[in-house]
Amino acid sequence: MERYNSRYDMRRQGWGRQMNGYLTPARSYSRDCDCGCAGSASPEMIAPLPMERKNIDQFPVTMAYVPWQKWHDTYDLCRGLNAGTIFPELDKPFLCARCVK
Amino acid sequence: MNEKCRLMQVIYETGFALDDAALYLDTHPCDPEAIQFFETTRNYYKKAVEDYTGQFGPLSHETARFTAPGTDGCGCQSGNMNCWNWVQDPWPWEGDDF
Repeated sequence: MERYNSRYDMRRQGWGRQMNGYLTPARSYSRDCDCGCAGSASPEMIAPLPMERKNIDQFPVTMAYVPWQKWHDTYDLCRGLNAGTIFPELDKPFLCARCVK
Repeated sequence: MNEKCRLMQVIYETGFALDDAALYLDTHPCDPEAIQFFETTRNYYKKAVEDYTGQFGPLSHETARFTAPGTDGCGCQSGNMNCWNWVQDPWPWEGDDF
């Protein structure tokens, strides 16, 4: 393996993510694009976006998803201060075991 | 609940709501309902701070004033220039009438 002077050099050479301490070629994990990385991936390796999935059980593992918050009615100010949030959908008190909402 | 306590409670509530709404606006900077909520709540907050500091003294250095010697328990000798009213209220560890 040839020597690289910096991580930047490694990225330039197409070396991508680090797995278990080993650098793996970025092209194995990236879609085709115009960025010059010459990446390509087989269709089964490309994880569909969440909206393309109907069942959450089929989401790719190890990926985190945070639904986009939308503005709804807020708590009145007194309740918001006591709850620690003005957003009812974020009011999830911890009761030593699990959330109740 | 006396007036001082009531105003302080309004400041706590509106101040917290502003912080929470600001977090939402950080990720939704163009949300018209959030903007409306923030503007309205900020007006309540400003009014409450203004009322409180006008009647009961400063809440921060920004709202501190220089008052006439001898007022509000000031120990300055008469004839001195106005004095810093930040130190004229009880310190937090001295307790208050909340």
